Amino acid sequence: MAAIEFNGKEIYSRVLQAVPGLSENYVLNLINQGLIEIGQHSQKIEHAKADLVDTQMWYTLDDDRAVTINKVFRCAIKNDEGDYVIIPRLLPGSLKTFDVETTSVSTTFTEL
Amino acid sequence: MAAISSTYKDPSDSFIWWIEGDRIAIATLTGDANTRETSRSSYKAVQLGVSTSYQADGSTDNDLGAAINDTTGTSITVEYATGFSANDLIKVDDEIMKVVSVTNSTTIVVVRGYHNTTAATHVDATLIYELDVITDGFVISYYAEPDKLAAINSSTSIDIDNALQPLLIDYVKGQALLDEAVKQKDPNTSQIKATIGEKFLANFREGLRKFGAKKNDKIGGTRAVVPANLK
Repeated sequence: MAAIEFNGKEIYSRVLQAVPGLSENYVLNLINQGLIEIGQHSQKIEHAKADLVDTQMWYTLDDDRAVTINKVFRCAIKNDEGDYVIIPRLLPGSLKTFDVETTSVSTTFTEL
Repeated sequence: MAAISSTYKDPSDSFIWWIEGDRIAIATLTGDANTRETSRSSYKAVQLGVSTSYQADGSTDNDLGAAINDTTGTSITVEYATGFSANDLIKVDDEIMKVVSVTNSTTIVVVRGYHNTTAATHVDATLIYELDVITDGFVISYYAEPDKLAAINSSTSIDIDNALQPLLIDYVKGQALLDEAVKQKDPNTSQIKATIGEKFLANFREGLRKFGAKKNDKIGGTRAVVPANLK
C-alpha cells in the first residue's frame, strides 16, 4: 500500500476547489469517464487462470467485474510437472487452418 | 486429474494461442496428445482424452446406480462413487457434470449441464466417462481495466496506480471546466474556463504518455523518461 492514495471523497474535494458547486453524482460520472480513458492505456497488469478442457479450443474472455480484461499479452500452460510454461502467440493475420473446430463454452477465469 | 502428456516435448514448442474477438484459442500446432506430426500446418484443440470410469477393481465399468429422471437434481447415484473427487468432470450420455463432492460410496453431488451441455434424463446403468481436464491448466496475463468507482466516499480507493491518481483529478477538473464553459453566457468567461480546462486535459494526456514510457518495477531506481517536447 502506497503512502499517498486518493479516495473518491478526496478527489471530489480537490475538484470542488477548481470548480465549485458540482454535485457528487456528476463528479462520480466524470471519475468513471476518466477511469475508462485511463483503461485504454496499458497501465495495470493482472493474471487469471482457467481450466484447460479436453478438445476445447476456444475460451471466452468474459469481461465481468471480477476479471476486466483489456488486452491479453501472455499465456502459459501447466505441464505435467505442475509448472506453467509460456507458449507462443500466433502472429495476428497468420493463416489458420483447423483439424478440429470446437464451439466456445462459458469460461470462468479466476483472478490471481 | 489429467495433465499435459509428457510425450509433448515441451508445451512452449507444441502449443500456440491467439485472440479472436472476445475469445482466446489454445491449440496444438499439429497432432494429438501422443503424436506430433510435422507434415501439416494446422491447429487442433488440445486433446486430453475421455476415459471410461471404472470401479475399484479397475476393470468393471462404473455406471449410474439409478436412473436420473430430472434435469435439476444434483445428487446422483453411481455404482462406485469413491473413485471421484471434487472438480472431476464426468460425462453421462451427452451431458457433462462437474463433481462437487462425494456423499457416500454410491452418491455424488454434481453441477448439472456443465460446460454448456444440456442437462437431460438418463436411464439406469448408463456408462460414466471421465472427461479429462486440467484444473487451472492455463494462465493469461493481461492489461486490466480499472474497476468502476461505485460511490464517492472516504473508504473506497481508486483502482489505478498512485502515479495516475493526480492525473485523474486533472481529467475531472478539465472536463468539468469544459462543461462549465459551455454554460457561460459571457464569452470571455467561457473562453477562460475552456482554456484552463484544456490545460488540465493536456496535463492528463501528457502524464499518461509519460507513465507509459516509465518503467514501473520500482527496483531499478530512477528511469529516464522521454522529455515531453522531444521532437
